[in-house]
Amino acid sequence: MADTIEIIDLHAGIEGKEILKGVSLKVNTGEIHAIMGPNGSGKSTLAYTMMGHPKYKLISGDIRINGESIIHLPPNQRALKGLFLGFQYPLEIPGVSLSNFLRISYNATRKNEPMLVRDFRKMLEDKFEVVGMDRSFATRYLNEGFSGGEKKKAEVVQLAVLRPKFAVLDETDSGLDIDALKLVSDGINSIKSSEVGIMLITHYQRILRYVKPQFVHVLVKGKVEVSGGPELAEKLEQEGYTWIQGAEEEPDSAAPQIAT
Amino acid sequence: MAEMTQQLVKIDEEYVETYSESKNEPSWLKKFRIDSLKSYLTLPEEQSNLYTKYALNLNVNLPVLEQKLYAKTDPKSASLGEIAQGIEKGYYYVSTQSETFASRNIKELDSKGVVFCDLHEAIEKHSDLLGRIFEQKAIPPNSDKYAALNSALFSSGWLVYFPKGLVLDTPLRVRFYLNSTKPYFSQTWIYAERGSQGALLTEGYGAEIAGTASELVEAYVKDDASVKYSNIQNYSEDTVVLANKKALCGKDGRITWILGYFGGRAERSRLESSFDGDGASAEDIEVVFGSGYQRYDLVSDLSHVAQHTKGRILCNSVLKDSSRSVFKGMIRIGKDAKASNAYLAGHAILLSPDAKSDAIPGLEILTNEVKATHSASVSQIDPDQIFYMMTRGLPEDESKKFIVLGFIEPGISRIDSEELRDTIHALIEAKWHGMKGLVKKVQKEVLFEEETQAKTQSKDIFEGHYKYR
Ligand SMILES: Nc1ncnc2c1ncn2[C@@H]1O[C@H](COP(=O)(O)OP(=O)(O)OP(=O)(O)O)[C@@H](O)[C@H]1O
Ligand SMILES: [Mg+2]
Repeated sequence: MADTIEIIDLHAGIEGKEILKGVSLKVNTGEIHAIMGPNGSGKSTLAYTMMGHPKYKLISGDIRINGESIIHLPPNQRALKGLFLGFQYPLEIPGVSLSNFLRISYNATRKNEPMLVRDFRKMLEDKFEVVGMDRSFATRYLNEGFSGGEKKKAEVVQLAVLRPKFAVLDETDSGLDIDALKLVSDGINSIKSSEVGIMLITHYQRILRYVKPQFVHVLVKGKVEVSGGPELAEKLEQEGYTWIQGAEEEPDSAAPQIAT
Repeated sequence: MAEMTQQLVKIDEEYVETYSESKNEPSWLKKFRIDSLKSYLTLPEEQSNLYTKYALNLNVNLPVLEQKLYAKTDPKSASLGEIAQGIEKGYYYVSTQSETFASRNIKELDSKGVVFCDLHEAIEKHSDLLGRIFEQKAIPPNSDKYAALNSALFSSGWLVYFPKGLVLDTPLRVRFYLNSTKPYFSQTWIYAERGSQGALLTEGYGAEIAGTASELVEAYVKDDASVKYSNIQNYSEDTVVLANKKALCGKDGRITWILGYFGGRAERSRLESSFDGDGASAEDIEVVFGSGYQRYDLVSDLSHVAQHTKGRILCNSVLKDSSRSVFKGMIRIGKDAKASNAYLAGHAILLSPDAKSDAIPGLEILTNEVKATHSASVSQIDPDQIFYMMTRGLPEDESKKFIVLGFIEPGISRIDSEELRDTIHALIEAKWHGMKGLVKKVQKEVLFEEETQAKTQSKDIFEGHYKYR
């Protein structure tokens, strides 16, 4: 039976400002949902709120995995429940190697089946290969000095290693060259199975040619204004967001962009 | 009975003279000691931000030392065997204030022309070399009050000599255990002849006593020679540590300092890398992990005298509880030091609102065509970094610990001993959880495993993809 994550009438904000104004979504394992929407519409806020970023405050509503509310859990316990966030801006952690970090994470999320260093290494190397990353990245410090694209690839490597039940990928396709986009898509597809539900936040139709969503949702000013099938993404590519109710003027996209 | 004797002893010229004679020291050394005592008595008290501002008293002066002179060895102190535990095969000494044990293969060094011995043997067998060193003393007694005090009173020491062209891959090691409140004054001399390469790795531990340790280290790095000196300071949290270190680097000579500060109630450290020959270079990496009420007052200076010289200093401090640190660095580029390059960075992470840290970089540049940069920061752990790690399943406390370990990793990864790196990780783990004291046994759950540990990164950590926050 499929696992389900449910977002129910979610209101959330940051620094006293309400950003999400009633978001409801339901994602089952085996499904891919694309989340699109103008800059500043609240996509990253949704991702952070789902994962439990301490700066993002939940005002009302609920997030449930298989019917069980996770909103009072710290981020690490949400991870243990199977939730993963691919960051729009991955953080750099100097002095902590990617492979050490991932092995510790892997063992933390799979307490009953920890992996030996050697086996883990092999697995990691396979994942690097899928996204076309040199294995030397394993011993480099986590994201430190990685290029924008390398950081995104490394997020996909982490995703592939940790194999969560639900992955929220926040603009994992941004900043990638054409070849890299293909490789990252391969990476995502390599984990795409009946066992994982994906929420793919993106601005571009491009990645959706490789990673094919069954559902597309458009977030505008903190609300899901339109939902549909893959054809919706194409329409957005052609016509932009202005035809969607509530998005005619673009005050939000003119709002200052904050690196979250 | 001991009490009575104690009252009578004064540390004065006569005391120093008698001491020197009792050790059969050459007369030049006796004179050196007497002159040093005079310097000590005439030099003004040292001022430190850390002590005045935070009201810390080092409490090292003659009356206090006189009281402590006849202290007994702590009966609970570790034996030489216990102290040697875990040390890897190689050339090492294990020592306390009263005993010294030399690893058997130190004799092998003779055939290579390498000298590695204690003060006693240095005076007995290598007084010519010692005399040569004292003629060009890198840290003359009048450099500062505590250097003068040390120079008058040192009763322990280590002499290292690398002959011309010799390359020694294994580091020489000294593991010292402070087992009594009796003041410990030592000098270490590393003399690296032209084209030689070698390393000395030292560790200081101690019993839970209010000890006093004064350590002076000098490196004479001749043309094309390369010396690496590493020290892990892990004395008890009641011990006061005074350190003076200096390297004199000849043409294309290179000094590397790797210093880890974990123990002591307070450490006051003065370090200088001096570039006297063209193309000389230094790398100084210092890491601090303070907890409780520990105080660290650290200075590292670069003196660029000759051309094309290159100095790099990084001091990363982590301060927990009410611990404090001051890191001061001065880049001096003299008028003849054209095309020199200096980098100085002091960064600190504060883990508690009561922890404090200051980084004070200074520049003194007397010529053009040089590059000198410095950076300093004091901050808490970035909450976004913590969040990032937590999203991968690590609890908050673990996440913080890893970020902190990563922060001091540039220092630790450069310690040339896997066993010692493990000990340091275990020590930090213990300090993290509020425990103190010597960590003898390494917990099995080692934080970072072999794979990245064993490889001491050879590339210059200040270049390439590394970035310091
Ligand atoms: N720290 C903050 N303080 C104040 N406002 C913030 C903060 N972080 C985000 N916001 C605001 O919240 C709104 C939603 O931002 P969010 O990052 O969720 O948008 P987004 O849909 O992900 O945009 P993009 O497509 O540009 O990534 C924006 O108006 C943004 O300015
Ligand atoms: Mg965003």
